[in-house]
Amino acid sequence: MLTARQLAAERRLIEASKQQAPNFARLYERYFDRVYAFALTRTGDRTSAEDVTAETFRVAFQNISRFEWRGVPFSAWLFRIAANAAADLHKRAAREAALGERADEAAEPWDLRFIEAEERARLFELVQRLPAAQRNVIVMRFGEEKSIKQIARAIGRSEGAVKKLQARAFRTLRAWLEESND
Amino acid sequence: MTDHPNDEALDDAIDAILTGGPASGADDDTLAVARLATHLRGMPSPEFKSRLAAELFPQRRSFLGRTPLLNRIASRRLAAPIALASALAIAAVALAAVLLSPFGGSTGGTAEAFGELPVPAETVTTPIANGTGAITWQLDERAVLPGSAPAYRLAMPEVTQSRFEQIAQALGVTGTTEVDNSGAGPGGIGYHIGSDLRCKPVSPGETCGPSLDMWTNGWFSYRNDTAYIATPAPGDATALAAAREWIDRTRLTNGDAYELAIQPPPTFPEKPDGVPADPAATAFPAQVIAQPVGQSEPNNGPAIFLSIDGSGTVINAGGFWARPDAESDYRVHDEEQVKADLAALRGTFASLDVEAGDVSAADVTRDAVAHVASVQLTYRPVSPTGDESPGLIYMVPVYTMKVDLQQDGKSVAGFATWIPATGPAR
Repeated sequence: MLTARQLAAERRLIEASKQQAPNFARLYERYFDRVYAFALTRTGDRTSAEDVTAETFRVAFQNISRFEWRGVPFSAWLFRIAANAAADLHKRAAREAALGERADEAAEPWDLRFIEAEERARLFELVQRLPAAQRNVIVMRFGEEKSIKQIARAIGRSEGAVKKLQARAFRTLRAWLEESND
Repeated sequence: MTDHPNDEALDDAIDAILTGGPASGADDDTLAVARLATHLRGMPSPEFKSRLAAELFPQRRSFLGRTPLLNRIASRRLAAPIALASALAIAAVALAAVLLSPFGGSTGGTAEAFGELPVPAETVTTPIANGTGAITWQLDERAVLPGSAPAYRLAMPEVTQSRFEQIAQALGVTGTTEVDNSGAGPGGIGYHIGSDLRCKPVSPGETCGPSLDMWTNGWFSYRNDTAYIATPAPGDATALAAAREWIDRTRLTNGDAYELAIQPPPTFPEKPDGVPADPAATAFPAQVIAQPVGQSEPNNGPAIFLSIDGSGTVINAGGFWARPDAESDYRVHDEEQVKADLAALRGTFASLDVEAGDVSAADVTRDAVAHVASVQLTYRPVSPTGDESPGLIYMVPVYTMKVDLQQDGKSVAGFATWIPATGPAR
C-alpha cells in the first residue's frame, strides 16, 4: 500500500513522463518487477511472461499522455493493461491450439493468484537487496536458468562455493520475508 | 562436495522443485526454504529487462550517440549459449546512460567484455581542512538507479614527435621540441615547444608567446599568453568561427565530426595567479567546447576546450580527442551499494570531492546530512591501470549527484559530487 507521500511522488513521476517521454524509464524501473511477476503468475511461463510484460510497457508508454490521475496507484493501470495482454495471449493460444493448461489457469480465482503475484514481485525485489555475490548466483540460476556448474564456471568459483552462496541467499530471503510478514 | 551438508540438501531440493521431481532426503526446514524456488523460478533475466528498455527508449543514448561506427562487444555472459544472444547485447546498451536514477537494482557483476573495469581515481584533490564532521547520506525516494550502463573503449590517436611538430607548425608555434621521456609526467612521454610555461603574465603588457604541450596519452595544452585578458569577449558567432578554424587547422580531431557549443563564462580567470584586483572590470574570453557529434553534454569524454578573446584569437586550448571503437554493457551499483560507497568514500567533510558548489557556509567540524536530490550516470576516462598512462582508455560510468547539504535541519549548501558506478564493493 502506498503512503500519501509515495503517491504524491508517483504522481510527479507520471507528470514528468507525460511532459518528457524519456522520464517513463523511471516508471519502467520502478514497476518492471511487479508487472513481470504479475505476468508470470498469470501466464505460467517465462516466454509468455516476457511477451505480456513487453506488451504492457509498450501500451503504457504509448498511452501515458492519456493516463488521468485519480489517486489510484499507477500499478493498477499497468496491471489492467497486463491482464488484457494476458487475456489476448490466452485467446491467441486457444485459437492456435486446443484449449489447454492456459485456459484452465485463466479460470482460477484471480484474487488468490494476485496475492501470489505480489509475493513473487516482493521476492524479486528482495533478490536485488542481496549481497552482490549471492545475488549474482540467484539471478544466474533463476533469471538466466544456468546450472550450478555453469555458474561456477562463470564466476570462477567451485560448485560447492556456489551452492553455499545459493543457500545463504535463500536463508536470507526467507528471513526477510518472515520479517515483513510479522 | 560442499563443506556444509545442508547446502547440498538444499540444492537437491531446489533442483527437485525446478524439475518437478521428488524432494527426498531433505528435512522440513530445508524444504521450507527451498520452496522459495517456486516463486523464483522464471524470474526475469537482466537481459530481457535491458532489451525491453532499449526497445522502449531507443533515444536514450547520451555519450557518443553515433554508435553505428562502434563494435558493440557482447559480454561473456551474453555470449554464452543461452537463448538470448548478441542481439540482446546490442540492445542492452541504451537505457542506463542517461537515466536520472532513482533506485532499482542492479544484478551484480559477472565479468563483461572488457573484464573488470578500472575505477577512476577517488583522490580528493583539495581536502576540506578540519573537515571532521561526519556526513550522513540520504537518497531521494524518487530516485531509480539503472541496472546497467555501457562502458566505452577509446582508440587513442598515436602521439608522436612528428605529429606534435606538425600541429605546432600549424599553430605557428616555433622553437625546438623538448621531449620528456622520464616518465615523470602524468601522461607518458611529453612534448613541449614554444615559450616557457612558467611565464604567466598578469597584465596585457607582458608577453610570453605561444606554446604547445602534448602527451602520449593524447592530452594537449595550447597557450598564447600574449592575449590574456586583453580584450572584451567576442560575440558567439566570432567565437564559434574562431574555434572551428583553430580545430580544423590543427586537425586534432582526425577528421571526426564535431559540434561546438558556447560555455557559460567562468566566474574567475582560469589562471589562479592571474586573478585581477577588480574582477568586475575584467573582460573574460569566450569559452567554447568541441565534442563529438551526438555527445550532448559535457561528460568527461573526448573534448577540446578553447578560450577566445574579442579579436577572435584562441588564447588557450586543451583537452583530448579520441574515437570510441567498442562498447560493452556493465552492471552498475544498486541503491544499497551506492549508499555504502557514499559512506565509505564521502563519509566526512574531509573526504568530500566537491566538484560544483561551495560548502563554506557549513560548519565542517560538525555532522551534517547530505540529501541526494538527483543522480545521473556520467563518465570518466581512465586507463586500464587506473591512471593517465598512455594507450588504451575506457570511459567508465560514474554516478554524479546533486546534493543538498543540511545542518540543524536547514539547507546550508548545494554541490555536486561523484562516486564510481562499477567496480568492487567498498
